[in-house]
Amino acid sequence: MLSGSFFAALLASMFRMSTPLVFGATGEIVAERAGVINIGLEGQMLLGAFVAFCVQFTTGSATVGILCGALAGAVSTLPLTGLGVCRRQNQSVVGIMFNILMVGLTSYLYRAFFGVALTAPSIQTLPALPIPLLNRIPLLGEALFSQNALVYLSIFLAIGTWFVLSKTMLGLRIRAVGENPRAAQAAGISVIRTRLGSMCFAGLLGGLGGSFLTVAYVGRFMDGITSGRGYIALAITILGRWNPVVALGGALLFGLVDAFQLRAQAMSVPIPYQFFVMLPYAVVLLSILLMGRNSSEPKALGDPYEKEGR
Amino acid sequence: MEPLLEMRGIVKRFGSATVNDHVNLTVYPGEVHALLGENGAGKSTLMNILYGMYQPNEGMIRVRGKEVEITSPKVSLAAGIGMVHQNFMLVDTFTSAENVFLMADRPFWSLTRKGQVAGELTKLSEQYGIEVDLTSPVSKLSIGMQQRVEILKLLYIGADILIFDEPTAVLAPQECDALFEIIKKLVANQKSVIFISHKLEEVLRISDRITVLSRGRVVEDTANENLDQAKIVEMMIGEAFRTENVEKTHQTRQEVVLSIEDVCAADSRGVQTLNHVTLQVRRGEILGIAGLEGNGQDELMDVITGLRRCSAGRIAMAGKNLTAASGETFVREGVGYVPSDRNNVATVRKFCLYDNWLLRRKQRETGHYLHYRKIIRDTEEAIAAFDVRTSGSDAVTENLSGGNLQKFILGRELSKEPKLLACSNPTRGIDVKASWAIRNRILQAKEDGMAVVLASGDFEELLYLSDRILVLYKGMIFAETTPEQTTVNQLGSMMMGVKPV
Repeated sequence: MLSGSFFAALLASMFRMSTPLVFGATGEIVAERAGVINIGLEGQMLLGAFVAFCVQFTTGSATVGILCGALAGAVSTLPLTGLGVCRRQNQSVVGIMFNILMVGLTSYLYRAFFGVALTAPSIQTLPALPIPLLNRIPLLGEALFSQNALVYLSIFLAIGTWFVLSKTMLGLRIRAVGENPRAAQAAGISVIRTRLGSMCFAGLLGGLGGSFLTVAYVGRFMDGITSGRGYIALAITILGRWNPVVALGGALLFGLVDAFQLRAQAMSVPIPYQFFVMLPYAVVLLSILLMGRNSSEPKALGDPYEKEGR
Repeated sequence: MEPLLEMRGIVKRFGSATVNDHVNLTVYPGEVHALLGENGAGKSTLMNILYGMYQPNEGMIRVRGKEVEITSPKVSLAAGIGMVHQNFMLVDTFTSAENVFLMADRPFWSLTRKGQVAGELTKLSEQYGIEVDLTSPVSKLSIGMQQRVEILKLLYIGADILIFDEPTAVLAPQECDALFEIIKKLVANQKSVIFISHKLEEVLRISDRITVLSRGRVVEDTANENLDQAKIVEMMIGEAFRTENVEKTHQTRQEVVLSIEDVCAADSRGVQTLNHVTLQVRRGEILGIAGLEGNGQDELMDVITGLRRCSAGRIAMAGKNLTAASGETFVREGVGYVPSDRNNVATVRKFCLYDNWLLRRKQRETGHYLHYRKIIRDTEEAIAAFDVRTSGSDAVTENLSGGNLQKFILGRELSKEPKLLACSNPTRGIDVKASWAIRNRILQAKEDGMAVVLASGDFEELLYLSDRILVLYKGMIFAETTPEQTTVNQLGSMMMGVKPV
């Protein structure tokens, strides 16, 4: 069982399992660093998954499908930002409502478009795109460098986002808005616009994460296909201490446990399979518990900022 | 000489209240222009308009002869106007250099090259004699240092007009002197400074011109010549003002009211900031507590009023052990508290006055059913007795000015006839007249036989009121002295851990 090929397949599965979470958590980190708590991530992923599936189904192009999925995620943050930032409503409540709305909306639209067929409509999943030379590295070549384009993109975006947040003017401004919006405003930064942009980015990445599920992983759309991955990405944001690279590690940990439990289910172990399904969630909860409270949480997170306060 | 800044006919209304009523202000290059007025006279509003935080309803602003419409802080900064806010506008988790760099008008994709910024800042800080630690997070810096970061921020982006909003309220005397040196260098470099302060002695010392606001209007605009404190106060409140001081006696009685022994406590971050403090307060005694911010005086005040548990040591009130007692027990045993945060700790901002009147009261006194008729009567009596200017006992607390709210809080605490009255910065940010009213009430309480613990960052106040002063440094009692034995400067040195020679 513990042969090399088993191990490579496990790692490959780990990267695939974690990709939607890497997208989701990276986007969420940017939103939260700007001080907005984007609970609606789950809904954005679900919408992205649905839109990407529909567009690829009709146009036949995976690229167009993914782009539309990402765009749908980004656009869907506008009402959230409008309510939670501009109108200063409770961001968590607004996000939860949005998620419930998206579950209903995508299920309804799916039936409206495709009806109820005996065989569910499907699309071709994204082909693997092995990277020449690198894919010959033992173990890692098979596990990481023979994946599809979205897997690479997610890792690239996580590292790129880390760079932007910690090394550029834009990152400095985003962090300032999430730490002390009054100070940021006094420095001539538009708090609202920064938060709007950060939320759009979060939605864009949420949409990409959702697209991955339908376009690159399953090839079909099902009701509630995200099955809580948006919420897990929220947890990974905390686990990653609002640092995209650490969060990447957190997502991989979840992916690893998830990949392992899928394999464990297939083995005839006399444990009910539900326990295996619970395992990755339990591991994330436990690691947050063990980490304790940490100080890297943006100080103004979820804080409705009022400009002309008196 | 052409003025650097002209504000003409500024009107700002909040709802039905006119906070600025056709205000004019002219500032010339190379001058320190003081802006004076009681709380609620409209100084802060005027400055917030100049800084783009509020939009005026009428009026116009000219900078270097050119009319500008200041719609946001960004526009204001671009016009060369910068503000050193009273609550510093710094991102705590950033370093000084990052905070300064945040102000830079650079494209968003440009990199934050820390080395380069540090070089530019070192040059600036040498030019103006501003010493700053550039590499530590701002939260680790002293208050004086944080203020210098604020100044540096503005100089970095090339501000010509610097607004200082009560810059000395939080500083030790030596830090004040250093700040004044910096201000002198600024105006020597043809920058202009708008200086807002309640401390008239400072205003007379530093400013070239003085504009006095009262009830939203300019009542005086004059050069700083042949002026003294009494004249300025007269301009501010429109009548001759005498401090009718309560006769001060040093007749401390024998009975010990509060006694704490070997007390330690941690602040809200869990860091132990109070280390083995032992002290006693007797009836009819005012014990002054001096210390720079963060040296344990906040924790000490919280511990003796039951708001914070001590981690070690013993606390007794009139011989009764209260070491692990609840806050309510402290109230029952006769501890009155005027905390330094009057808006969030002393009162509930959204409550009306008579609801706030009920806070910090014994259950036995109010009962389970609230007899509002009596409560309102009591509140109104206190409002009258303590000269609280308000529309009535049903006024929402957050609409009261600082001075009036503080008088109300003091009235509430004294109405319970406490054995011990603890006051923390009772007159911070409060205008002259209300400050003296509050100080006299505290003296009266002492004469009535209360034990008073007074923590204050205002040295004149400490020296004037206290019978005995304890200096806290790093959470320990560093020195004990009396007003007769010490001066403002010596007190300042001791607070920074220097024994007087």
